[in-house]
Parts: sequence; structure tokens; C-alpha cells
Amino acid sequence: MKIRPKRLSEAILRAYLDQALPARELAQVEHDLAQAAAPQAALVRLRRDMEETGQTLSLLTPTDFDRSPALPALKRLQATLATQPRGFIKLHWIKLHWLERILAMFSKSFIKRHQSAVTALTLILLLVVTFSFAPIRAMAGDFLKIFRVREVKVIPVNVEHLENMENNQELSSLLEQFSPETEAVVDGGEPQEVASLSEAAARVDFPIAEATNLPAGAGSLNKIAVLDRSVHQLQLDPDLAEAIFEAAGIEIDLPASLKETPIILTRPAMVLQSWGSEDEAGLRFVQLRSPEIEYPEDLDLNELGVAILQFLGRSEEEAIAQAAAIDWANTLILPIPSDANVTTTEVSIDGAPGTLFLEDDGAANAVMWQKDGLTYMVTGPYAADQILEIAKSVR
Amino acid sequence: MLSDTKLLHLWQAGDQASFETLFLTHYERVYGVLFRLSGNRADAEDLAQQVFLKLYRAPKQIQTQNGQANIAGWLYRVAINAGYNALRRQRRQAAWQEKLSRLWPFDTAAPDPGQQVEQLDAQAKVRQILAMMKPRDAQLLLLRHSGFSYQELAMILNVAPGSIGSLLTRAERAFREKYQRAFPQEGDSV
Repeated sequence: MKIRPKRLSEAILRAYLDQALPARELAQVEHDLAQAAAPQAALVRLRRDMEETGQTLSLLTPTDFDRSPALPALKRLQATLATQPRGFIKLHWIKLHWLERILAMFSKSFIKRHQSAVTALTLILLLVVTFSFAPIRAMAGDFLKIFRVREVKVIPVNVEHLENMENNQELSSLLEQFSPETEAVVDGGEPQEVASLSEAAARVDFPIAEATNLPAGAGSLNKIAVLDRSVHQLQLDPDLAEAIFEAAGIEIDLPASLKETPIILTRPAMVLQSWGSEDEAGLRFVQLRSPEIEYPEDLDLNELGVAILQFLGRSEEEAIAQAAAIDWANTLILPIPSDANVTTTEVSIDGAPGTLFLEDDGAANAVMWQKDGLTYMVTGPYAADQILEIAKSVR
Repeated sequence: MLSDTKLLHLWQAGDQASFETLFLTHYERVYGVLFRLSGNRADAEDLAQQVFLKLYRAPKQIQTQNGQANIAGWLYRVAINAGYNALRRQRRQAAWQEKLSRLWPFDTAAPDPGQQVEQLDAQAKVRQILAMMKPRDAQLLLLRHSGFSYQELAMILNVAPGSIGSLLTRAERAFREKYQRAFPQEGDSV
């Protein structure tokens, strides 16, 4: 019997492999396949291609851990619909995700899970913890300086400027080589749930504050957790770092001591409290001793600050002027990208400097402030005045 | 069990339970498609919620033909568009994140490169290729490998069921060719 090409076309064979043929057609195809070798060979090739492509595409399949059950998702949607008027397109809880990530960023498993898609703001807040300049004391007789966060300075970053850097081949090539070794000296692990604030207090070395004025509807305190201290050290190659700055048109001399002396980041133990349902973005309160960073004494922070500002898109003159207005020794630099849809406002919380983070549509999401060597952050689905009231009630 | 069309009509008449049924019927597959595109749970959940919110806000956007409403087609088309928009945004952000993180590479994720990083890298490559493909081909591959039947694919993409086999073969071939061109050293794996 002569095989008609149309009957055993690739399309038919593919549908056959996918078991997508109607019964009558299936019988015919099986009959035809049994009659000739060529279509059988084509079938084998097609199956091999299909399986190999399928294997590659299966890399994208969610794991069990990544599954999202429908019922909790429906509840989240209903909660949103119940609190927002029609026409309010952007979901409040959606907007809060970046804040949730800020809170979760200290969790090792979170970082592992989201490594490929760490959001802009998560990275920025990682920088909050890491790129923190605020001196408490110089360690007597030591060659290192220690700094602790006392103030936050927001610096807008033009994303287009950074994107344009991609066109600088030399810079791109150098950045490719720039992969400093980071080592976890002390692993803080995952947040450990505790039964009470007094139990949490026993595990940290600072008096735990409480928010005393909670908004109606915040719900009850449903979780208290402690995340133990973590210490990371980073070894930089100052020559390569200088070359990167140079490729970006920025001159800087970094001390050779960076080759020998690691930069050490300490994120002290922190206490996390959350109210309301875990499924929804509710009120969250985080407190910790302000992070510390240790670095070689001969690293000139002001000079580095000027270079960083230039790297972020300022002209040399602007960078020098702006750097002069920043107390680099006490200030944590917080770059906010131009496409983050977040605006920031400097606020005072009981006389302490703080930063209020607002979504572009005006809903307040977070306030972070530093007082007496401690850093506090309140996040929640509340308007600016409400979230500031909560922060001011912290005792 | 009520059909999607019936549920839509009931929902348009104000029956909340019908919307809930539609949500529960389609959510996990919408999420699955979006997870494949975004690569992380939080983003996929955000996007899936946006898709259903859009449905909730404007159920009349779904047109009926011969008395049948193609809700699945609408949902998955909206989902894929939202997913691709997010993917483009993600790639833009990743570019500058990388530059920032290389300048201040204190990211605590750094100490744990290993297998996870390789896996993420492999996933990123697949998404990169999908983003380079013709939209319909990429949609077809994503949906087929999310478990949709030929019948469902035909309905979502608005093509004849008999053409799916041919379209799939073509799309997979295009995927393999682009992948091998982009990553020749890994050509054997596709």
C-alpha cells in the first residue's frame, strides 16, 4: 500500500504522539504506520525531538514548593475586593509584595527561591543592610573601622543611565569579571517562631519595643519570630573595582589593603512581628540593632561616595556637591530606581530620622527609622498618616 | 457542572458564587502559565490576581460567539500578555540590578551559587528563547507544556483543532533552532 503523505504528515504524527487523534483516525494512522518504514522513522525522529524540547521546557514547571493553591488565592482576591473601590486597578496587596520581600529578604530560603527574580527593591533593601555607613566607634588599636546605620539618605537612580552602560563594552566586560568572594561567617538561618515577646527578648540583646497604637482591623498578633545574627565577609579586588569605575569614566584610588582585608557585614539578630492573617499583607513590625559594616581604615568613604554617585548617573560636579551634603560616616545610602513606582519622604519619628515609602498612587506602605542604635520598620496596607501613627506609637 | 458560558452569564447577573467557581476552575492553570514565564511564585501570584481582577472588573470584555463565551481563551491570552510584559520588565531590571550588585556584591545569596544557580540560569535561557519567538509559537509551547489539550489550545488560540499538531511541530522546531543558535555549546540538550 502506498502511503499518502498527507495522511502521515508531521502534523498527524505529532497529534498521534500526543494522543490527540480521534479514534477513527487513530486506527487509520496505526494501520498506515504498520505498512511502511519511512513514516516509522519519521515518527521516531519526531518523538525524540518532542521529548528533548519537552525536557528543556519542563525546566520552567513549578515545583511542588512553588504551587499556588486556588482557595487561598481566591481569599486574597476577595479581601482585596472588599477593601477597595471598583476602578482601583492596582491591588493593594500586590503592591505590598515588595515590602513582604523586604521582610523576608533575611530568610535564606527566600533568597534561594527568588534568586532569579529578586526585585529591584529587594536588592536595594539588601543594600540597606549591607551598604550601611554609620560610625559608632573606632575600635581602639584595631585597623578596622566599624559603622552602624544612623540615618538613611535616598538617592534616585535613573534606570536608563544604567541600561545605557550596557553599550559600554569595556565596562560590561569588566563587570562580567567582577565576582568577589562572599562567605557566610555566621549563618543566621531561618526566622524561629517564639511564643511571646519576652521569649524573643531573651534571644536578642536589646529591649524589644511594641507598637501601642494599632489601627482598627489590624487583627491580633499572630506571629513573633527571631532571626539570629548573621555575618558575611566579602573580599574585593580593588584593582578590578578601580578599572570598572575607570571604564565608567570615574577616577578613584582604592586602598591596596582591600586585597588583604575583607569587608565584614554584620546583621544583628532581629525580631519580626506580624498581625492578621498570614495569607494577606497585614501589619508587620521589624526591629533590630542597626547593621554594621567593617572595612579597612584607609578606605576613603567620601571619595567612594562621590564615585558611586557618578556611577549612578551624576556628573562629577553634581556628585561632589551632593556628596558634600552627605555625612558618609553616618548615612546609609538607599538608591531608588526611577521605575520603582515608589516615592520617599523624609519624616521624623519622635525626633528620630526616618523614611516613608509611598507607592505612586499615594498609598503608604512602609516607614523605616533609626533611633538609639536600633533600626525599626513598619509596613502595612495603611495610608501615610496611619502608618506614621503606628510608628510613633512604638515604645 | 455548569459551563464557563453559563457561569459567566450568572456572574454578569450578579451571582458571586459563579465568579468564585470560574476562579477556582482556572486559577491554578493561569498561575502555572505565569510561573513558567516569571519564574517565581510571588510574581506569578501577583500577575494571576491581576488577570482575575480584570475579569472581575469587566466581565463584559469577554465576547460570545454563537452563544458561547471563550473565557479560557480570554484568560490565558490576558495571562500570557501580562506574563510577557512582566518578563520584559524583569529583564530590564535584572540588567541594572546586576550592575548594582556587582558594584556592591554583598548579596547574601552569593555564597550559595551551586546547583540552584545553574538551574536558574537554565530557566532564564529557556525564557530568553521564548521571548525571541513569534508570540503565537511561544504561547503554543507554553500552553502545551502547561498541559493544555489540543482542543483547549485550539479554543484559546482561536485556530482549528486539526492544525495544532502542525503548529506545535513548527513551534518546537523554531524553539530548538533558536536555542541551538543562542547556546551552541548546549545544542545537544534540545
